[in-house]
Amino acid sequence: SKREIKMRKLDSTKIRPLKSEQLLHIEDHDFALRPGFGGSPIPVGIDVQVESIDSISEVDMDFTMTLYLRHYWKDERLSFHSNKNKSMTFDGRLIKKIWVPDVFFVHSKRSFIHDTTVENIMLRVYPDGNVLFSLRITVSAMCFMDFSRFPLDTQNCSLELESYAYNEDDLMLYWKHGNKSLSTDEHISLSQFFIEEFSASSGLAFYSSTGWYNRLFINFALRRHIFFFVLQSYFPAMLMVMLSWVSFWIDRRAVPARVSLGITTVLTMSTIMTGVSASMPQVSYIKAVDVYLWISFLFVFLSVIEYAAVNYLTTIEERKQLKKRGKASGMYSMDAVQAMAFDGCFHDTDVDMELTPFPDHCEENETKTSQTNISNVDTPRLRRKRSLKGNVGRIILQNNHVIDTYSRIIFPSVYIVFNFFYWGLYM
Amino acid sequence: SHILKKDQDSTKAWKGKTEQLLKIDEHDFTMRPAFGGPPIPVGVNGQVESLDRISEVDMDFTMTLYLRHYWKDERLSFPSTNNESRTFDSRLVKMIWVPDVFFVHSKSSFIHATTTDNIMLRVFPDGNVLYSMRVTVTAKCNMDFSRFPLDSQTCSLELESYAYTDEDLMLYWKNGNASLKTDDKISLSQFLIQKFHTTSRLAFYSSTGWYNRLYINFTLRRHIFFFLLQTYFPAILMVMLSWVSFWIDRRAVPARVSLGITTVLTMSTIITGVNASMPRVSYIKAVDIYLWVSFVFVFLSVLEYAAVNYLTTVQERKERKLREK
Repeated sequence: SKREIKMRKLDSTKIRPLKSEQLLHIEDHDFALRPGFGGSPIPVGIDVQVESIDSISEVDMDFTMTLYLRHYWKDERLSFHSNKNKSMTFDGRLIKKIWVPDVFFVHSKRSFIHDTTVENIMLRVYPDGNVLFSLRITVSAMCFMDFSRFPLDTQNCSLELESYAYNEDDLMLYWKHGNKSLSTDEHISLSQFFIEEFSASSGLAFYSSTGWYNRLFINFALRRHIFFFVLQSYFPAMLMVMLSWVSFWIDRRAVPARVSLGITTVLTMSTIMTGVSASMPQVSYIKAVDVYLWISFLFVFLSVIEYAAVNYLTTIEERKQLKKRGKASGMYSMDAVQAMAFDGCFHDTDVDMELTPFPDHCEENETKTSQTNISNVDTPRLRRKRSLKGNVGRIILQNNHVIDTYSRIIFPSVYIVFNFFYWGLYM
Repeated sequence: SHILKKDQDSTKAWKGKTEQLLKIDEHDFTMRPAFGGPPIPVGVNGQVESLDRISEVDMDFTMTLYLRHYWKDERLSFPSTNNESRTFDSRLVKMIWVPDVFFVHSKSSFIHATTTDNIMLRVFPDGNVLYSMRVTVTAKCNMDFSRFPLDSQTCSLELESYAYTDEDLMLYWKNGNASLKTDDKISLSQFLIQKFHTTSRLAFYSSTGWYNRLYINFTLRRHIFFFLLQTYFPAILMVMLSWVSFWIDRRAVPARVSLGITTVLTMSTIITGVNASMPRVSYIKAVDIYLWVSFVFVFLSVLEYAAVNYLTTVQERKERKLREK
């Protein structure tokens, strides 16, 4: 009656009183043998969609990519009877019972098929026996990188697919849609690189023990963004070199100032250079960034050497002057600012500095000089003001060593010329 | 229309499964070929795909290679008209006997399994078998750093059968000295790979007997350029900078002292930087000798100025006393 019919909902799996094995007649065939076993090679088409490029590692020289890999082939043993010509989609568990191509990634270091929440595998069988087999894989593969133009470099990497067991006589691997077989998600991007192009190509690979195999290549080029390195390495280096030029404008008698300026810029350049090498592989050739940093280091080093020369020649000059004036006084005259610059002690008025010894203590020196200058005590203020105003001009225009004068022009101009050459050559 | 019904399925022409083609059920493959008789010779050859990394701190290396075994098992022979081999899936490996080669002194290893197990089995009609796999193995290598970074390291990967001694399984290099090939593009950033060569020996275990062991030896020579740029040049420049102090007027006390002490600080930083990526060995390395001697030079320049300063002070006191008299 009608009530009995409505009692139980129709269970569609029970309409087909067979399991999928019986649908596909798996038990009747031996799927350890490839389709067309003993005959002509079976063509297997490949199609790839790149989901993301996860990381590029310079130190390990590899890249990690996640992709959807699809295989298309025809296995007549899997054909089944159907009215509507619609395909049937099966679970990953069917893979273990039928034949599938054994594609692997040549030069890969690690790889895995994602298995959350279940294995990311799809098998779709058409009534005529055509099969679509799709996987989601993450693979880390080797990429040989050349760092001679780092960080203004472009790296070419490729992922290679090949069948492990079946050579050219058994399995023909090809790109299903030619050049359009490779597609990428729109939002593939890397923080440090600009992905220039993806292209697909194919070739043959020969193994002396086992024969010729079809190999498919997924090629892509990566161009590095230089902005990070400009900010991290080039700008600090440039600023350190410019800081070292400040030393040429300081009075040559300010010995502690000029020496500590020079040596601290050398120390900072050394630290910048160590920082760059920390995240790089230890290659045996010189990189573009090394060229820049070492030449900048050389400029900074030369500014220290320049001041050593200036100081040494100044000392010789003073001794000659002293000999001319006679040995009796044993002293020479210095104005207040110059004396302060020389020994770091505060001087109120013009002082007479003794040549050979140096003061034990700043105050002792002060009391000595104030005794000799007692006659000038009335007009110290006026004198001080006068001496301060005229001092700026005197520091810059007088008492300059000729090396300093030339260095102020030569060092910046040579550095600017070097920069023109460097950026012109590498960019 | 009847004729065009279905393409012939060649697997059906054999009227059987692989097991029936190869008659696997009729034999017991837990026993090696010629069980109870003379030892079975198993030839090995290999192709090194890449040397992934060499780690000084862990004292090991990681290598990926195609490892191929060749032997004859008559139980797998099958009738064939054209004497061509048949290629089988890796699932057949579990059903027949295969040699149990392992890597002695390996820390970790795996057979690549994407998209399926990277294993190939090829059976010839007379029962000869070719069994190939793609393996990545990390193995120990004792390194001697006494000449670092001007050193050469010799490492070797050792293959041996785990269960079968000399009397059951004879492992040998199939093509003699030409058994090991390398991809053209094997290169490491820090080393020059000098040569790969193969040797074989016997290894004795007191509990279990004599085993055949095969060696894959290779020598790595380190490129010194990186260390020249990173360590030697900065050290040389620091020593030269410390000499600048001798040309500066001795009355410029702050200048000479800060020059000396800053060069000491930079040398100390360079020394620390080199040892960061090295294992803590108990002997002195070549680079240590250079850096420590340079450090002594820089240190002595500071002491030199201390002596100059002290003696000048003494001289000045004497002169003052003379003048006061």
